[in-house]
Amino acid sequence: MKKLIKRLCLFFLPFLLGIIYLVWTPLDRSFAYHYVTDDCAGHGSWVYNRVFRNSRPVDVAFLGSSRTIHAPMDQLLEDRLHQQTGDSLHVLTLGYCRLGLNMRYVFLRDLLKQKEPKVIVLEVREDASRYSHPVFPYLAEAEDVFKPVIWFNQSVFKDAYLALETRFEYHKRKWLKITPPEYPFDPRPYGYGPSEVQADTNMLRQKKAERINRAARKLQETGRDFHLRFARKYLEKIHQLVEEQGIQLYFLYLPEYGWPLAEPMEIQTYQQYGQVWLPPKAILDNPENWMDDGHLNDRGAKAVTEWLMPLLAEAFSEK
Amino acid sequence: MAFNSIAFVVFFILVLWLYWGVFSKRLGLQNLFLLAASYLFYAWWDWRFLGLILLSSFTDYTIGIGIEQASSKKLKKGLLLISLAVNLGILAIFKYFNFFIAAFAECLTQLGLQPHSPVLNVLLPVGISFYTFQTLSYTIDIYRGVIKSTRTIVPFFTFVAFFPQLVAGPIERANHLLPQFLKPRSLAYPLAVSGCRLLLWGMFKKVVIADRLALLVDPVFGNPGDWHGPSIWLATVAFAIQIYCDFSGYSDMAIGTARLLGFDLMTNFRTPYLSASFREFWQRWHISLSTWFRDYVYIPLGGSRVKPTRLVGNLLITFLISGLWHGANWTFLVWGLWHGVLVSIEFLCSRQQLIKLSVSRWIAIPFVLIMTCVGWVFFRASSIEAALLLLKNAGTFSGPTLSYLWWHAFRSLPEATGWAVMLGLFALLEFKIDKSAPEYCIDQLPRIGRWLLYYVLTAAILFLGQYNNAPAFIYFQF
Repeated sequence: MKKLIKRLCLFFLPFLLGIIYLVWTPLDRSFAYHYVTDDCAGHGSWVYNRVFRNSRPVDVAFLGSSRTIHAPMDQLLEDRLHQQTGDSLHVLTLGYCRLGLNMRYVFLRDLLKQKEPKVIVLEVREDASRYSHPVFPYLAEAEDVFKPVIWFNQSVFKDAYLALETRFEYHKRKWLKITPPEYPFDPRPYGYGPSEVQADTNMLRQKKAERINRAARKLQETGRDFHLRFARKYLEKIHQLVEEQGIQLYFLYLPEYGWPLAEPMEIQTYQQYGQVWLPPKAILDNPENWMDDGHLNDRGAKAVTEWLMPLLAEAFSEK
Repeated sequence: MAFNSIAFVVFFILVLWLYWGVFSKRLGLQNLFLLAASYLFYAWWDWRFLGLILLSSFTDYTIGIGIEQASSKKLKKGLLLISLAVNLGILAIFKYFNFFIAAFAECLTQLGLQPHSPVLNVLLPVGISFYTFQTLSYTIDIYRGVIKSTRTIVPFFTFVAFFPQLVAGPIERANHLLPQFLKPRSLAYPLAVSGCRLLLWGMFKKVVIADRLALLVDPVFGNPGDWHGPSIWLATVAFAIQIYCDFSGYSDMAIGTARLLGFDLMTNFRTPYLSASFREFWQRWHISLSTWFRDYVYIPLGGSRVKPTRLVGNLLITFLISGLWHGANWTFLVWGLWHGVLVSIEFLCSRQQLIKLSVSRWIAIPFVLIMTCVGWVFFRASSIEAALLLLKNAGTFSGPTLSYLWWHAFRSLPEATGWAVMLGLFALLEFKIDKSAPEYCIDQLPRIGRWLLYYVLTAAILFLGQYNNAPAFIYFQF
């Protein structure tokens, strides 16, 4: 048995060194953003182009999930701000599908390395997401994955495996000349996702009823401090990043349709780091403003954008 | 939880650690742990399948004891019939119900009737054909007096559900595997090393060769009307190699896994494409199944010691059942019939001395291979019509080119070149293995050659293996 284990260890030694090499070397950002092609309608490659390759500056960035993609109309905001203040400010809606604050952290860090935003607006929902974003390990730096903010996190091993796989896949494709020398450039400057679809009102009504019950259950939930440690740690890290650069952090509340609470459940945590913007109930309660039960349509997004305009102007006047 | 998944790697490392590290002191505990691990392995697909394997195991455990204790021949026969009815009944319901109902309805439609045929919406439990045949052989052997029934329930249940060979064989016989559960096991170094070698070789065949070839095979067999001539030939030959590497790769990994647990499983493949006759092919292809059919179907029917017409009948029945065992589809029946006809002709020729076959082995091998490939067209095609269309189009030259198909499977020249070199290495080793065993063949190499081979195979698995959207093991569906 000992002989077998010794031989197996000897055999696997070069592979262990290979793993150390993979962890040690930085991940190629271009590859990482283009690797997950079948997720969020290939939005990753657009994010890479906009942040890394497009020379257009970014003054205001909205970071969030698909709700952000379907909420602040970045081009419209830019035009209105220009009309009102005369400044040429560049606004960017930088959303990516699904939940997980660690993914916003990765986007923010890349954004801060490439651009000089003055205002960051972070999407917040009814309640903070407790888990790792599924795409996080593909994009994150080794340190974030292999030294997680908390070890008691159900995705630790999965994230570590996927991060290693991504790094290995990068080298493999490079050696086998599978990766193209340069990915095609996507010049689109704005990240808002237009939609003229209007949600079925019966479905919205049904969802609203369900959500009233869910909110009541949530309010009685125990152990929140334990469950939300992951999200709160990442919030701290995000705040630390923006603070180091002297950037103002704001929070934009984007709940799902029919959620009965007027403010996010974690509002006290958010308020420690920045102002929380709460859209008027009139916008959120209007069924005509929704493309489905979680995302606004063009009409709703326009209403949110108009409402955001003075808030952003004020944020800039404070700078 | 397939052998080529990360879940299995983690599962198996944990099993090995607990099996040898914690439970090795007491055989009973070790068997109980193995049973729990096997059920967990099976439940990974769908926990509801456990009910069937429990039913099958319990039935044959009690009937086995019953047959042995039965005083009269009539009672023994009755109990055996109950075992057959339960096991084949489960198989019939889960695997063949819809096929036979559809065939029956089709017959009635031909007669001008308008039948209302019920459809059973059930999932086909993974590996059902394998463990059903394994447990059936136990009761039949007790009935025949070949083996004694076992009174210890855990070893028997573990014999039926033993996870290395549960879902795709080899289909073990009770007289070979069951006694191994009853005696203490140790991890001898040569056994463990041979197990590791088989795991590596099997994994290489599956993820490097078979799964890559699937990229050449699937487009052609998925759209048979779009392809012609050389593309069909290439896809057919590719499928012949794919199914061999897929299934023998699984068998090698199963045998290797079992060896690391201290068990010896039977050999399932002996380089079948180097066969110079169809009979030889069936002595080297899926040996555990072909010997099962030989012992429990062909010989009871009369075997070869009968008149020529009866012999042909026996062969055709055996191969038709073998075809049906693979799946509830006419294509498998035709495939079985094709091999039945080929083996029958060969038998008759050799028996009646109608033709004195003294051709060189190097002419016979390609001939057998070509005929086998024709059979594979039926096996792989989605329907008889699709298979016939492919055979018809194989003689025409139009449509997408061969290089189009080739570049569908590869993303760059270095990748294609690297894979072609690995295919060459595979072919070379297969010739060297011939009728021996892969682990023995590797053992013959000098130490430096062995280690070099280990690293080449591992590098190929890592760099040329298919992982994302890789097809499942083909024989899982049976």
